[in-house]
Amino acid sequence: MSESVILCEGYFDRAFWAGWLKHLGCEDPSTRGPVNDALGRPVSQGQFMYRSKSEKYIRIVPCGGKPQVREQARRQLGQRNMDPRLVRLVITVDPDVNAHTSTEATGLTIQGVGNLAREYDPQAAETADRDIAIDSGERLVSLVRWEAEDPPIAGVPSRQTLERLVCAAIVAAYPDRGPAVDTWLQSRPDPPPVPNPKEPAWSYMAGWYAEAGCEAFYRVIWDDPTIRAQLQARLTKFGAWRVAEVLAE
Amino acid sequence: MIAEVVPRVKDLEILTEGDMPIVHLVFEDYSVPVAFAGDGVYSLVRLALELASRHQGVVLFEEPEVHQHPAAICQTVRAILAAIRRDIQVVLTTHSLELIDYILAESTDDDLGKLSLYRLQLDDGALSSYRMPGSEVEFARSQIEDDLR
Repeated sequence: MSESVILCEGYFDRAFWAGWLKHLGCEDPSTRGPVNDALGRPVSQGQFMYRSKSEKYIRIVPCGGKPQVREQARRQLGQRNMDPRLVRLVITVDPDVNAHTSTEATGLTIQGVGNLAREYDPQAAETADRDIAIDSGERLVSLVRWEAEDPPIAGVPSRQTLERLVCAAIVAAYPDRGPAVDTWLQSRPDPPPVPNPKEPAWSYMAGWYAEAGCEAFYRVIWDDPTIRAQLQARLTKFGAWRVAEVLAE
Repeated sequence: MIAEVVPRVKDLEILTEGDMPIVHLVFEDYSVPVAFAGDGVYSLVRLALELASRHQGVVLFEEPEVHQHPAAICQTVRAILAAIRRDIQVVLTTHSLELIDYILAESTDDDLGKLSLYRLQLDDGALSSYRMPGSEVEFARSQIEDDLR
C-alpha cells in the first residue's frame, strides 16, 4: 500500500493540481462518492485523492501556508515507511520573489529540499532529473516552484506565484485580456497601497470564469486548450511538467 | 460523568446480591446493574472506576472507544485526562479518530506536552514506529486533517 503526496500551500494550489492531474489522465474518484485511501481510510475535508492512469494513489494536501508545507514535508518523510508508504513527495511553493528584479534563487530551492531530505536519509542525493532520491532511490522528493519567466507585461503580476503563472498563461493565450484587466485595475478608486498578485488573477476569474467561482477558476483554465498549451510551456521550462507526468503514469 | 451519557441517572451505588457486590446505575425510583445498561456505558463506568481507584502508576487501555457512543467517548477522554493530571501515565491503543480528536479538544497545553502518539507498523515480524509529540498531533489533525490511524 503506497501513495504519492503533493504538498501545497492552499486550496487554490490544490485546485490547480486537480485540473492538471485530470488533464493528464488521472481519475477523480470523488465523482462516484466518498473517497478512501489505500488503507481504506476516508479522505476527508481539505485533502484530495486522485488515481493515476495505472491506478496509483496521489494525495493532494493543502497545508495552510508556506511554513506548514515544510513542517508537513518533515512529517511525511519521518513516517515514509508507514503504510501507506510514500513513493514520491512533491513540495509545491510560491517563490514569492520579484520576477524582474530578483537575480538569485530564493525561497525553497532544490538544495533546500535536499538538506531537508538528508535530515531523514543522510545519503539523499540529487538526481539528473533534479529530484532528491532517498532510501537508495526507492523514494523521490520533487520541488515545484510556481514560476513564469515572462517579461513585464500588463495584467501579469511580477511576484513569482501561482497567480503569476496562471495570469501569464492566460495573457499569452489571449493577449487582449491583459491590457483590459490592467486598465480596470488602474481605474480603481483608492486601490490598496501594495499590489497583490491575486488582484489580476481574480480579475480574470470575474471577467471570464465567474460562473466557476474562485477555487474552480484554477481548475477550469485547464479545460481551455489554448491556455493549457501556455501552462505546459511554462511548467515544462522549470521541470514541473515532467514531475506531474510521472505522477500521472 | 455518567449522567452526561445516560439521561436521568442520579448516582452510582454498589448494592449486594447475596455476597456479590454489584455496581448499579441509580435513577429516580429504580436502579439497574451497570452490566445491563449497554456495553458502552459498562465500558465507560469500568474505565472511570479503574482510573479513579489508582493514585499513581501506569494504566493500559485497549481501544477504550469500543461500543461507545461519541458522547461517551468524550467522557472517556475526560476521565483519562483527569487521571493524567493526577500523574497517572495512560497508554492506550485506538482505531478511533474521534477519540484522538476529543483528546486534542479536551487537552490543555500542559496535557499536550505530555501526549505522544505512536503509529505502528508490523512487517514480517519487525515492528517499527513513528512518534509524534502532542504539538505534532495537533498540527496533523487541525491543520492537515491527517488520518492518524
